[in-house]
Amino acid sequence: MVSVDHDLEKYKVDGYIPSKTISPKSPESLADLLRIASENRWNVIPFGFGNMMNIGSIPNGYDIALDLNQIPKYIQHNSEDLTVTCSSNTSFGELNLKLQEKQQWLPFDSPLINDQSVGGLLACNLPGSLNACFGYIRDYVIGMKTATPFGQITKSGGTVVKNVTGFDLTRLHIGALGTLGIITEASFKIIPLPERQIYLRIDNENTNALIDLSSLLNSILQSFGVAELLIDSLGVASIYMTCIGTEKVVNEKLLEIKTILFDHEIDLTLNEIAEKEWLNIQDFGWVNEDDFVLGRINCLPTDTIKILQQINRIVADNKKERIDTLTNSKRGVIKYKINPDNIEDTIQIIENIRDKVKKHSGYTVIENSGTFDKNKLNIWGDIPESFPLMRKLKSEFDPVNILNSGRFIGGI
Amino acid sequence: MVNSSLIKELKKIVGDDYVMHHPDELLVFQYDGSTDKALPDVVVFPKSSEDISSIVKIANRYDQYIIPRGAGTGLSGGAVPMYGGIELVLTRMNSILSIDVENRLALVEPGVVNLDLSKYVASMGLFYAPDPSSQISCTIGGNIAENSGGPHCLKYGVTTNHVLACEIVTENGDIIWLGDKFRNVPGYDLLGGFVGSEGMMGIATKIIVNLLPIPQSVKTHLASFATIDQASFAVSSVISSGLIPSAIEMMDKLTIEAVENVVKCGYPDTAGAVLLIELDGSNEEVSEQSKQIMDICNSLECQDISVAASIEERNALWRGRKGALGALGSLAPNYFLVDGVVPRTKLPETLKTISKISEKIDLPIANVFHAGDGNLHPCILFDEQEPGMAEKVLGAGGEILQACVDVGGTLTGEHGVGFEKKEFMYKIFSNSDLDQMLRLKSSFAPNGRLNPGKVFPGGPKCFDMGNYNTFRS
Repeated sequence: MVSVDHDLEKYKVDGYIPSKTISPKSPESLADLLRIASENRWNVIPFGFGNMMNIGSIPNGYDIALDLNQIPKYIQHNSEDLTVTCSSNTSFGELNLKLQEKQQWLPFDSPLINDQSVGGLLACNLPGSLNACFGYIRDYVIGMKTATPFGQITKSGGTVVKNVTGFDLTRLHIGALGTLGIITEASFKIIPLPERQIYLRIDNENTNALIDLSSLLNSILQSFGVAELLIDSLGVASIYMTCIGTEKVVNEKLLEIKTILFDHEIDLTLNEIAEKEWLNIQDFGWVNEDDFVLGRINCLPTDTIKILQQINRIVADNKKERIDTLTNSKRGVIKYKINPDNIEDTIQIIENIRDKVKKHSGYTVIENSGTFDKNKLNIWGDIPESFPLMRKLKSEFDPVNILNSGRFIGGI
Repeated sequence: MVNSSLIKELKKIVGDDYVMHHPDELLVFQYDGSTDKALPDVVVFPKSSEDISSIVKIANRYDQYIIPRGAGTGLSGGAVPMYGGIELVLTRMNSILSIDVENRLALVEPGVVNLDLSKYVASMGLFYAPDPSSQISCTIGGNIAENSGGPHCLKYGVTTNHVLACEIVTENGDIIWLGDKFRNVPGYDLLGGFVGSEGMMGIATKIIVNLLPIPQSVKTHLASFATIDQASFAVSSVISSGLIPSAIEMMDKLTIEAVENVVKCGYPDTAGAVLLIELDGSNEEVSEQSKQIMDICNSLECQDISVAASIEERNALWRGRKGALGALGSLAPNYFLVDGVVPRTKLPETLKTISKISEKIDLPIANVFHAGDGNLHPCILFDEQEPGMAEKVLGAGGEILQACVDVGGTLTGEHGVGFEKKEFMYKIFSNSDLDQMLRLKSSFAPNGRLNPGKVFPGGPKCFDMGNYNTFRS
């Protein structure tokens, strides 16, 4: 039913090494293990592909690493119904390749998208640029199975695209970091692959001009694309864009963009780039991740540029730390990456940013703290007023608190 | 019988005019749009979140159930007070509080009528996407409780995809916000769990919804087919071709007959079934996709396909679809509307099964439904005056739902489980599955005071089920 792996080092989380690693061979044996862990109050950390383990606060304990990779993998693609069901340990990259054989896809581009398991992708729920055009991961999940600390495999939703039968538990598990149960299977509604997708880049040292331009491009692209503004630690700015749709729509948008650039007061060059370069931008803060602290701000789209300019002032005031930002004014997201030379300075910068964001009623979380001491950071930021309900929910779903204990918001 | 001091306290909160408790005043509040009925003990019309909070606290003191209600258009008995109690009618809370055009957000009260919001923001170039058939009267609060859909949810999704935040009053009377003005706020997606919880986890008192830009172009096609099989095949062909129309609606011969009797919108009387296929988006996108729709339907030997040439023509086509249920009254005194979902490829097979059920019970069944997402609405036509008819019709409804489940479908696509379908939940879910849903409910409303007796099989408290309480100390 299970195998035990003695190579414990590779399951390290925030410096903690588990007492034991267990690899269940089926969802049922996974559920059994969770029941036994509950009875014995063992702290369990689920481990998929292991690329996102820096997310979250320091665990309360780490008795068992649950390696989910030996559970049989499957993909059931119902192309005519535009749905797919797969095991949670399926590689998302492989899943999307399979869908693309039938000219369909799931329009997700979270960080490290092709190197995540489906379960990991759902549990972490990190946003990507394409959210601005196609909606969020949770909008595509139509059903789910989870292993619970009670030793059961339970399901919610189903495999049809429209369904209000019973309460929607799938949304609770998405972004819950595996603290309510371990996802074993997910069903998605999928969409047709667009006829064409192009990737573009504009570079210029006039950062202020590119800040304004990125907002303008986002409004021109409408729902057919999105622009991300990268400002590196030397103050050099680039706009990365993708445009998606029919051949005709993409050509029209391209023409509009070229016209804007042609009429612009400064000389701007538009470069077509490879998909890989676009995906590298999505991986912002997740490559060589041990070297950085990566924060994410969520705010109203209309506040995005105001907050970015405040961050730029904080950066200008601080001469020591190197800070890169990636800004999407369409979806109200700013990511900032600090290369921490000095602990106190880094903490001060994060607190300053948090302070500014709070004034705009936004949120800041630390997505990836690298090797930085998490004890010194407020990973999840301010807790929302609904936190008491979150705590109750956790106590209902995981009463003895074995699942990823301490790693979620407010120490859940 | 309600305690007179309770009435007095309720009147003190909302005023004498907004508390009803005389038996004849209560009669109208025993119904929603379903066949279920039960009288409340008292009906209260609050005006604010604070009113509701006070009422809930009073209900706790007097050990009364609270049953939230919007316009009462629900079709699953969700707003019917099956075990009596205080019916909380939210229609006075009907203000559109603010619109943020740049961020495309609306802050509304729960009693705002769905269509009123779209009308209000139309001049700003915006609309609210969820469009239940009852949108001229149903409320946004009710839509949240049932996670309502509508014809255009094929492209735009259901209510949960458009709600960003809710202020709710909890079972103990606390007022809290779930969600925020933007997605991906830290913590559990409590709002995602709350939407569609049928009034059992709290009462939504303020709501922030996402608005969409009105599309540049809309084209509505009317395609007629000799048989319902051919029309179903056309639906599968459109979907699998890679097109996502904003709506694909189907009406069978019986429905066409009823619609033409009453609404007279020009549906062809020679057709075995018609499809309304609507596209929206940019001018170029829509005209390109329209050609594709024409090609697909023509290749499948449709009898005729035409495009509405004006807004008036488009409105006439939709008037027929939206008036179809009412028009069925011209064929029989009563109808029983079933809401089930099947995978889209299983439409032909399921429609054949429904036809067999119709023959078996010797009652006509009209089909008018959201074909694009496999959401069936068979309407069993009958006369309730005939003895034994209610049992016969309910039995046939159960058989139809079983047929949906047998092909991988589900019990409800947009009407909710309510009281009507709660005993069917075991067709889909195990005790363990329901136990998890109860845990969600219990984290919000552990005492079962809000809208009791809905969704879960069993009595008002639902605590006799499954493994609930395992590991609870």
